[in-house]
Amino acid sequence: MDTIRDIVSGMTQELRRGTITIGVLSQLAEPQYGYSLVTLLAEKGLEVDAGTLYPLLRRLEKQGLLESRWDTNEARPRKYYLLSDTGREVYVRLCREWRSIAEGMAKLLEEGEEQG
Amino acid sequence: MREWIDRYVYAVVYRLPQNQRSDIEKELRGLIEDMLDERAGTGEKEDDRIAAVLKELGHPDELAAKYRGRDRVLIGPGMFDTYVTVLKVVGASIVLGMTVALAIGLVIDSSAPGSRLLDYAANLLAGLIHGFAWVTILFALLERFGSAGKAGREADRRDWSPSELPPVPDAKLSIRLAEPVVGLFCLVLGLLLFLSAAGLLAVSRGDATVIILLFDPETAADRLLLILAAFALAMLREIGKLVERRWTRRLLAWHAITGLLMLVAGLLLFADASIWNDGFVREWVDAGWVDASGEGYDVLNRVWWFMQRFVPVAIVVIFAIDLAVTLWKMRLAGPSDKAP
Repeated sequence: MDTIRDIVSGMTQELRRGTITIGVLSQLAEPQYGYSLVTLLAEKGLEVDAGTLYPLLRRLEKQGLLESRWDTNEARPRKYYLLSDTGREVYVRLCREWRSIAEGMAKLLEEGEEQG
Repeated sequence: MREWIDRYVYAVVYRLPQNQRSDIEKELRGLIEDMLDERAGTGEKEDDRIAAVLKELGHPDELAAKYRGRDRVLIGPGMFDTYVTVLKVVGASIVLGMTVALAIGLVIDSSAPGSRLLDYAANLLAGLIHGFAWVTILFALLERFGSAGKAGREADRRDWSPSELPPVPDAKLSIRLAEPVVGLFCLVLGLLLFLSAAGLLAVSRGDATVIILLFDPETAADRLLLILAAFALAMLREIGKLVERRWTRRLLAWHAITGLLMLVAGLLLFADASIWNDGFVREWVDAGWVDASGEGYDVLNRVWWFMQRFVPVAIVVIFAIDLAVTLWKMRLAGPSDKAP
């Protein structure tokens, strides 16, 4: 049933897309560089491609949610990202939104299980 | 192949904005090195590791697109159908116009049909390329700056209320597709005819043929910009109808403005008699078609004299009627557009 698998994988991707931003913001109270963030998120169960994360970090920086600075002291220069004040505020509000969505969804799924 | 890394990074950044390039490049290189380090312990050969890492990052075009972060379209979905319709109409008119011109040319002078066909093919190709380019440029501009384009659409769609929905148009105010299509078609044909009547279209002709031009080629060439501007305005008029498909106040205003501009252009073009080929009557005589002392000569002279004075008047009358009709439709359309 390849078609079912394709449909599910497509929809899963769509579901995940929105969650990545919150996931990233949640980890940036402490400065991280791109790849350390990939590993950190993966350890906690959120797999994100570096090819998705790096452009996302730049976009969030451009929107003013993140601040960045280059660390050139180490052997390899690295760009560290950190939540800005705006970013923190946005993150708090996003969390609120997320919880209400999650609660609503949980309720819906519960009812669905009872009926089905 | 360490060089693969250079190639990959270059392929990602070379189309990104200049001011971000070096930053993204540095970051990307750091990322690739980090990913290589992670695979260091696997015992793979370096080349394989590099290949695997780059594959994991995905195709450079896709990565570049993510960095760019927005879709770049010349003509958005809102206008695309209209764009294709206009392209088809313009293309068809060019093919038909050129073919008619070829047929007339062959009737006038059937010598060297081979070279004429070659000319035809070359002109057709050039004409189609021109048509395609201009229509595309026009729509790209409409997309960027027009109210039907992206900016206007987004602003309009964010806060709308059902009360703004335009009423189903009065039958008198809806525009049938055929109207602007035929209009565009006639325009292209008209331009071709005008330019050939002024000898501005390259037609190779045998020595034996007599071609009498209606317009003076030099004056016409002088005023070519004016002619093309008037033509472009007329095209924009018809395209406006294609986009809106009903007489809104906006379209009517557009119609009135372009009409006035075309009137000015037409009057400038025919302002003095120098646009007409002043050797017209003499050439008829030279060709032996009328006798300089006969009655036909008198008639021809009078028709020619009349035409030079009639055309500017006709232009004014036509545009006056057009304006009156536009104003009447404006009343019919009611006080506001309730923009679509």
